[in-house]
Amino acid sequence: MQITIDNLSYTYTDPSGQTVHALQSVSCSIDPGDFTGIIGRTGCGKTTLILLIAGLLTPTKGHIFLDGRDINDKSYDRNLLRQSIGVVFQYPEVQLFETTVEKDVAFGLTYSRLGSKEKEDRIEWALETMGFDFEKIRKQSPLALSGGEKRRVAIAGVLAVKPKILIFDEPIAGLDPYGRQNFMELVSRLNDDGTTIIMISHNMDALAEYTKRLIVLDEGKVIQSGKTRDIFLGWGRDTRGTEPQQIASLISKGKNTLLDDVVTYDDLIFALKKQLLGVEQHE
Amino acid sequence: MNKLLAGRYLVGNSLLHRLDGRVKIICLLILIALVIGSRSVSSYAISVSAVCMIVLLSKLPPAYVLGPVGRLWLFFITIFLMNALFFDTLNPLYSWWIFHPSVAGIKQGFSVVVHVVLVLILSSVLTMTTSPTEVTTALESLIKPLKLIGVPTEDVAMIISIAIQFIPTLLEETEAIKMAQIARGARFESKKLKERAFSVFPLVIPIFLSAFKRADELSLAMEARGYRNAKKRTKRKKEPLSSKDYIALCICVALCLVQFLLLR
Amino acid sequence: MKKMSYVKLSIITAVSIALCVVLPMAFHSIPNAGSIILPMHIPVLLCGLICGPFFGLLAGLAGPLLSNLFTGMPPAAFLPQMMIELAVYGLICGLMMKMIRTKKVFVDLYISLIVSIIIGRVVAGIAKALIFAPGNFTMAVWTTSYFVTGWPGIVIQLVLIPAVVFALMKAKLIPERY
Repeated sequence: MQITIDNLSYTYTDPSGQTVHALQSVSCSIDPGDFTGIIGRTGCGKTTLILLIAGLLTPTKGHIFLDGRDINDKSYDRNLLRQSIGVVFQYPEVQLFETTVEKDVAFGLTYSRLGSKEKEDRIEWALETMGFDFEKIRKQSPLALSGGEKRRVAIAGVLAVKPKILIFDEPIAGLDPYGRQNFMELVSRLNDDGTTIIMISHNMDALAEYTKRLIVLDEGKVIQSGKTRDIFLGWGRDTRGTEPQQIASLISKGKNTLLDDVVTYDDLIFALKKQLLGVEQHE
Repeated sequence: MNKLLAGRYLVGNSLLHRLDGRVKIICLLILIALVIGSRSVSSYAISVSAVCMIVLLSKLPPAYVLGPVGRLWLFFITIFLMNALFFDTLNPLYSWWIFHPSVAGIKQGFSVVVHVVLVLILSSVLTMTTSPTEVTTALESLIKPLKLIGVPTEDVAMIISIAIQFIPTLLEETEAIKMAQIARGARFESKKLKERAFSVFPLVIPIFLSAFKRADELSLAMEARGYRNAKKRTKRKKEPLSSKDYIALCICVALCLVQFLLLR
Repeated sequence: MKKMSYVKLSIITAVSIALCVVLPMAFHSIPNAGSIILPMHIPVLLCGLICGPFFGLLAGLAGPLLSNLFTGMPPAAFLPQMMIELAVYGLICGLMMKMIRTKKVFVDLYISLIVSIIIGRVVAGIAKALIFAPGNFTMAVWTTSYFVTGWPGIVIQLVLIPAVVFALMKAKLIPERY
């Protein structure tokens, strides 16, 4: 599903009475099958942007088109919107409330027009994708699970809907390195299967390794958008770059040969091998 | 000032704004007694003019003060009719089915409406000239005598302070949960009663879970720091009452005495 | 049954009072849900059930008061009767939970809720009548009308509140009762 954002603005009044311009004339597009990261400082409008794309907020000005149709138009089927776009918020485990894992994951399918057998298959698929044994987990109470398990159940709840577009708001915050890696690999697999992924994150390394495109926001405006590698290489020597870039930069002091083209850890290892061992081919 | 935590308080510098919170609450109670005790025309006159004076002294825009009163117009009609039609079933002007309008009932209905309107105006003036924090601090001071009958007033004060601090946090959390569930397909605005009623589960249960989790964390943190109860809590320095506070109290008491004498 | 510390009970009460202010706001944007589920009653009943009569009483008094101070709802005209009604809810709920031990949590909860709601509504109806329309006949009218119009809310509360209690127990945020 093609997302086109046209001249989008969102303004609101905060509790102390001040007018906040959360987003100002944002225009961009996200192609089907893209893996796009959204980055920027805290408060720059990232969450506002994804809430608008998901139809959870109404824009003050501008339009959001999904496959050419304006989602805020009165004739747009809201149910279709919910089934097409899945959102995983930060700390998604907060949304769990049902008596069994199975029921909680099924919640998103309440208004889908699926039969009960199909629903059960979807729930099984979603839970297995998140690493659970379906028969063991289905009747357990989601509230009695560990923090990590709760998060995986919450995400399964969003996956079960099989949305064409998946939006994540800082999904790896608070996860240990294994958790982060597992998560990013899962998301990458979903992307390979055709799901469009939009991800807000502060983790530059994860974004550098997995995303194809980046949108950079600052104070409600898009200041950069394009291919991930291009954007990071443009920042190379800046502290805004990725950690491999910073390491390469440190090693390079005095000799400029190491830093070129280093964005991910794989790049760094190759650059070191090239420098020290004369290796020519990047695997 | 954060709009939520301000309630209906309007910042200002009138005489009433500057009175001590405790005095205002006590005067409010005295004046409510004054209003409710009004029976004769002259006592009504005293009550109404007292209330008008208060409104003038507060320098609040009259429209703002009368707002809450206006919004309850349907309620006032209801209580008037409740009294007029049902009060005196023995001497009705007219009888039809269960309705018995009577002169006594109409008088009663009228007086109840007037009493409620005046009390509403008085309490509105209080909340509009006193910030919520001032009100709760004043209440905490005023309930101290209950200590004599075994009520742990410092703990009560602390619980209320903590409750106030939690309000913005829980509100934010509630909004986040609402969004998350709407994104999952929860329907809060359905036309079917059953759907709407059950739509509250995905909202209420997570809200309580989240709120209790915070309570858990806070109480653990407090206990880890050796907290047992509020007896050793640092107390805010109490500001002494000024002359205008005493004058206000005297005037209110005097008005009550006058009305009491008039009743005889 | 493990008992919760005084501090924990105090903080839970504080949170319940805060929810008395927050829940009506959350439901304000949802048309009609507010009048159906009576959002301020839920935290007070829960506080009484979980923390006992003293804290339940406190929540019932402070909840509506703070809500009026911060949001203007309930309007001051209704405040005394709301405070009385919720104070009775919190108090009776807490007392009932202390006195009834049927070994089944479900049953304890239901009995406590039903008794406290009935008593609370009757007392509130009487208070309302005394304040606004004193007279023998009017008292009966107020009390019955209060009951009759409130029943959808009561039914929902009877389903919702035990659900919340069980969720809290499962999440180990409050100790199991037996």
